[in-house]
Amino acid sequence: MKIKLTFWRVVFLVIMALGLYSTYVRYLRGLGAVSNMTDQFPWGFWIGFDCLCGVMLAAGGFCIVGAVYLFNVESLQSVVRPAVLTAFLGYLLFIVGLLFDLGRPWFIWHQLIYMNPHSVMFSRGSI
Amino acid sequence: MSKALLYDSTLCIGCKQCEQACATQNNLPYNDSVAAEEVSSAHKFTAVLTHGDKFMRRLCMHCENPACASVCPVGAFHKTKEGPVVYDVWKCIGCRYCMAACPFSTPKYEWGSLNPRVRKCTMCPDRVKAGQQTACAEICPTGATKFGERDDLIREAQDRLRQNPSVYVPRIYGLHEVGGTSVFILASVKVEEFGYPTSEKLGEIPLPEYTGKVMDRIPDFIPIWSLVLGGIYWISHRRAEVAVAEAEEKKNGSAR
Repeated sequence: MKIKLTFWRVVFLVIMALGLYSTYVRYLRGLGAVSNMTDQFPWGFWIGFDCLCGVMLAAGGFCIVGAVYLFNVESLQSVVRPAVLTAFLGYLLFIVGLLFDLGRPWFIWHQLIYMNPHSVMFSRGSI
Repeated sequence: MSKALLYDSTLCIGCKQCEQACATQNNLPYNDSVAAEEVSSAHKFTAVLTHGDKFMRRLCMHCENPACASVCPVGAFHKTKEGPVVYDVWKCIGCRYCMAACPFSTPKYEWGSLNPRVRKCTMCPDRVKAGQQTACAEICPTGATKFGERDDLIREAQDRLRQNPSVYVPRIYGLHEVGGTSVFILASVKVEEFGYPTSEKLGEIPLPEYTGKVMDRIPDFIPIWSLVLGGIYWISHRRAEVAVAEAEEKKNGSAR
């Protein structure tokens, strides 16, 4: 099968190449080099996009699915499957984002054993 | 009994020996270029700032109820009973929530590292536990940084304010800010000029109490909402079931 290079495919390829290069820099030279975050701005656009956007997407999806099941809305059964898929992709995006965002992503499982119920992020991470 | 530090900037001569002692204590590099940096960072836990003939130290305030410990999803920070707020590098996942939460912007991050740690002044917890002073207090030649019991230092700071009211801004910075800290600052100019947040902005309520109000209610919400939503599910499905059964009954009834 031959893949035709259309305009948008080229655009996406360029974005993917940039992503691969950023990943390379992220895991070779650390977070500071790739995100431009500093001690003054430990969180920024980076967090807003890479993590929260996925969570929002997932929350919306699960809310719709939850409402359809709870209220047994026959006419909306058709949106359940795409909504669950979108929500799943949202969480996947979030988790992949975390692998970049966390300074020590290989310790992500600490969330499950060193729980701190006082932390607002605990409720987020435990899901 | 909880220990604390009292920093009196009117006694400080800006010799930066506390910086050097801190670097030695924490195995950090220290040379003239590090000494010239006037901000605390991942390789400089305390910094002496110079504004003309006034000096000011920046270091972790060691809050009585620290926001960093409250927000950390893995509990890597905790307040020890001796006073220091300490950090457990093994637990840390590097999410930087502590940095976003700290009202004094104390925690710093190793941005260039592949295994980054959060770094900050830990008030020499090993020395404090062994009954010694912190490295900075021990080396200070003028007594500007003083280590001692928290209650004693509060009394001493109040005495100094009373004896020399013309010298000081009439405030012990850290006594009430964010519910009290374990580092107190006396100064002849406003500490805000050196980058510390204003007392008004910090308030007197510990920051964790704001989130605590919400977080404490979650255990109540889970059973209540499970019940409510479960009830809605049961009713809506029961209604459908009844509708099907009634339709069937009607059909059977008309056929008979």
